[in-house]
Amino acid sequence: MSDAIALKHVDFRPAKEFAIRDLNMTVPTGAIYGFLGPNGSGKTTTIKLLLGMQEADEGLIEVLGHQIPQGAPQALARIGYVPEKVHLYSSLTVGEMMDHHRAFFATWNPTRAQELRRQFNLRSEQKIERLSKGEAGKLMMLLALATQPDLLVLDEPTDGLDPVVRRDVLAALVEYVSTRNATVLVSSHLVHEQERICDWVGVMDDGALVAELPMNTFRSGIKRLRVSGAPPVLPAAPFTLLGRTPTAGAEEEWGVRGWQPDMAAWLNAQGATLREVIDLDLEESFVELLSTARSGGTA
Amino acid sequence: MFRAVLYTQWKWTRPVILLAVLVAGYIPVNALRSMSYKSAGTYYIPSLYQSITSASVNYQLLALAVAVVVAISAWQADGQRQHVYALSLPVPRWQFVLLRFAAGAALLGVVAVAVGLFGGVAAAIAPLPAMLHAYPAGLAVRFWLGTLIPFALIFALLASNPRRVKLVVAGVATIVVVDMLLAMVGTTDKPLLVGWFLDGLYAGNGPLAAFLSKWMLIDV
Repeated sequence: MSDAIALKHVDFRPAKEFAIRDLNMTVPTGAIYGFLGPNGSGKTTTIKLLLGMQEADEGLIEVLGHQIPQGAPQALARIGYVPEKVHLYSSLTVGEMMDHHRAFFATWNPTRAQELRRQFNLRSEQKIERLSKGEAGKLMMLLALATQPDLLVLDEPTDGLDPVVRRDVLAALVEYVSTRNATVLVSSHLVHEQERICDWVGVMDDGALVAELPMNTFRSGIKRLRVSGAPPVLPAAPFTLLGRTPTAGAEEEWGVRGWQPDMAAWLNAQGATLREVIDLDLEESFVELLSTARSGGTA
Repeated sequence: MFRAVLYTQWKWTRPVILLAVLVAGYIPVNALRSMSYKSAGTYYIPSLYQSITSASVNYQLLALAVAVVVAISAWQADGQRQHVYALSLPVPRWQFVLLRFAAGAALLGVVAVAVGLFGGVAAAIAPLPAMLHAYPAGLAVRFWLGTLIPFALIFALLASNPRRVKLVVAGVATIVVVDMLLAMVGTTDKPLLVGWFLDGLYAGNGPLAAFLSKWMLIDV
């Protein structure tokens, strides 16, 4: 399976206080890739780089087989993009905005566009400047889906939307992906939302990708162990030790990735005793990953 | 694509364009109304010349005003959203800029056509002396080209990214201030660089030289 998006050794410094550093990221074709990270971690900047809106200082970016930024127009013709903030011309009406968008995309499907407009309860004559945040979000999703893209890039598409609108937007997204083998890159800091729809996940923090793995691995792979009697220095472990935190007495809590039950024997061999294995939900796993990355550990 | 871009710019500028069309109609009517007749039914030549000259200045002011507004309007909506929508469209940036420029030029053309039409009608109604002729088409072309120059200058500045615009404006402001200070303490009676720059713009074949010459609807 080829990759819809590939970033290799990308460096970019948009401001003095922030930089993307040696970013390597791969989104397989057909995947729904959840792009996680706290606010200000570099998700939107990365998205702008891969759409050719900003130019990297170093590295290679390839999207749908086109090198970016040189091949950005060809790639953008096959991409549906929903940005973080409303980017539409506020003085136009919904219908005028649809007509404008249609003029630039040969793949625009007018029937589907009208279906989505009705589904989203938008009226053609509504002025964009008078739309609520939810309605504007639905219009941006409509514009992205009606071009029948091979790749959907959604930057915080449901941020600030009420639950009903969020459900409508996600339902339209899932319906589209299920009918076409489209790739989706969806950036968000809402971890639970990503858990429901994504099959791959990348975690960004402070300009670096700290983890990239299938959602199943991410969901089940990170555990918290309660361990007692562990020596301060350990030999190489069969799992990835994300971090150790002393608790009461001689006990510690360990964050680990790649844990299997039979690995308890390795702990015993080190003179340690495994007291408890705690399953983490996705949000806790995410926090564990981030805190490990920030303390300089191996994520 | 052009039609879509033209439509958006029309929507953003139509009050100004329509007002400019009305003013384009008013200028020749006002000029001819304020002239005085000789007894033979033709205009008194000195009065005619004065009216046509003042109309020429009005045409230039109209051209400058409408060009500035159309140029600013062309990028205002994109600028407010950091050009994100425009940059997400599948066209090279230069092509999008060209589409916006062409749409602006076409809208300025509407005003130029109004200048030519109203000028032609006014000159056809007025009983001109035999030695004088009306040049509404020539005036319309001159008007259009005259609007394109300030339009292109402001358009180009606004099409750049904000950081570059700030640099250009700061650079120009620094040069002007230093130049004026040098002129104050030095021996020259006017700022050297500013004077040279303005000469370059307005003199001879300078891009703004057209604004110093007369835009005559009626001439020999």
